[in-house]
Amino acid sequence: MAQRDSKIYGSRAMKKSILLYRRLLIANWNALIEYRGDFITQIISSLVFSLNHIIIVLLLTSKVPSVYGWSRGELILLASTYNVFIGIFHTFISRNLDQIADDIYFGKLDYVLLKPIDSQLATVIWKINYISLIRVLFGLTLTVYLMGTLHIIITVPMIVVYFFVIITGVYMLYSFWLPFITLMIFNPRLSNIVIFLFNITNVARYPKEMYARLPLYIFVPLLPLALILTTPTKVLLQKFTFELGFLFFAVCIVLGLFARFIWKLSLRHYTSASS
Amino acid sequence: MHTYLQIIKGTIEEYTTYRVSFILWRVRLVVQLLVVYFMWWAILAGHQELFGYTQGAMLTYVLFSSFVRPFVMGTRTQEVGELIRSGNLSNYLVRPMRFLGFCASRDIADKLLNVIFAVSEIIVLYVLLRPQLFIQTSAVVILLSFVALVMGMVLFFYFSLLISYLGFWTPDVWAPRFLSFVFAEFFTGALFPLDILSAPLYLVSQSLPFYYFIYFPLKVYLGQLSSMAMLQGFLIGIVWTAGLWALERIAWSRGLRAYTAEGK
Repeated sequence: MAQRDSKIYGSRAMKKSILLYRRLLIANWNALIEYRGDFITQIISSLVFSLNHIIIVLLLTSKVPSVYGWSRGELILLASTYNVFIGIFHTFISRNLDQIADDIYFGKLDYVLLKPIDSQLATVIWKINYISLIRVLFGLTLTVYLMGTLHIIITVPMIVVYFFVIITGVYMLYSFWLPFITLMIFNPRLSNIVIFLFNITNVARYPKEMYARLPLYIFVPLLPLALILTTPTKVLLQKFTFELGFLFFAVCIVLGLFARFIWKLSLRHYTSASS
Repeated sequence: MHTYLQIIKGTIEEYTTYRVSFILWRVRLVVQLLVVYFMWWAILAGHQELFGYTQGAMLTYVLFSSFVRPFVMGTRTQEVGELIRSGNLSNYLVRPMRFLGFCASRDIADKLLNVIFAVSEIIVLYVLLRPQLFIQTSAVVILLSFVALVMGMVLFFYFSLLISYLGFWTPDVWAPRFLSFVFAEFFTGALFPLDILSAPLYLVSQSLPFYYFIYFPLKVYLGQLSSMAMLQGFLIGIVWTAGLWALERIAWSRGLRAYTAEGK
């Protein structure tokens, strides 16, 4: 009986969560289309930004057959994967973390913490930036085209692993950002932390081999960023090795646990005094 | 003059008050520079010369662009759009000073700090990375590079102000600023020297103001421009500066007529 009740309760809770998330999706969509001019300029900006990096890679590799062991086609594939990856990250994660930074600054994090859900989960569910899905679509289209030109056959397991690694990478980047954002709990004046993170994330645009010459004390902190794109691209290129997979998932787990630990630790120091 | 000196002093104090933010800002710029530096280092590896540049010339270009970029493009004028949108501009209009002078003073403070830190960072990076650098020895060329740098700085100042003035007519200044900076990022030559572009695209870039922000002063410094090309560059740059100055004056006076301070 108790088991049946818990099943019914679990299913109701799940339904409630889905309904709530659906409402959030609709609310975010309505907020987006409220200002039409803004909506259109955002679409154009997103497209221009997607193209910009591809053009730069095309240009830089126009006179060299390969860079850091990556051929021109492979580097463009990396750039298109960057669009898929960063599109997903900006759609679901970055705006929420930006909002959390604002909430900490203005002492409004209490509203998030009082919600009946896990506090860390509550850092990422409120805002959905639909415009960034354009980058995902653009990246996916280009990726499929490039796979054809590179004569690589797309298989279902490849697609599954690719998206699994991309999603894991998004979680890795989220875990990289969160401890930095929580620094604001200790120093609310760090108002440029989000811009800092946006810029640091650019490291991910290039293969990890590019940073091999960096001193170890710079390379190690940047390693998660250097891995998040190199790994899914190597899945597509069928160069995904056990060692790379192990390193990728090990870094992801360590970073995830670290972010969780820092978040919990920081909350103990949160005073909402900034307001 | 005393007023504007006080604004410069106040802006510097503002930066030094938020020390950790300031450090983060510098770290961000150094990481940005390192990414571009290693990208070029990897591309040039194994090549004596690429795109008409030796490794030394290219790495000099990349390292020095990190100095020129904040000097030219370090600005506080992006705040003007928000001042207009929020209606806070009124607070500045009633003060006994010229708003343009206020903006210029804030920018000077920004650039002063930027330059001091950029120079020290370049020295540290030079010691750590030991790249082959091209050092210009001709005093005339160095002087001309400085003039080109100041021209780029003035051009950028008016360009950025004009985008912020859009706030007089639209509440959304972010998108045009963002778009213009994506184009600027491409056409200033911050990531790569513009002469590696295809000939028609390079010709287009020469007619844009972005060309004079970073690329032109650096090319003058590297001594890679003929006297004719240099003269042509300075002339077009001066025309752009005069054009943007005139546009700024028109936009400011028309904008003030449209300004309703409705944010407050």
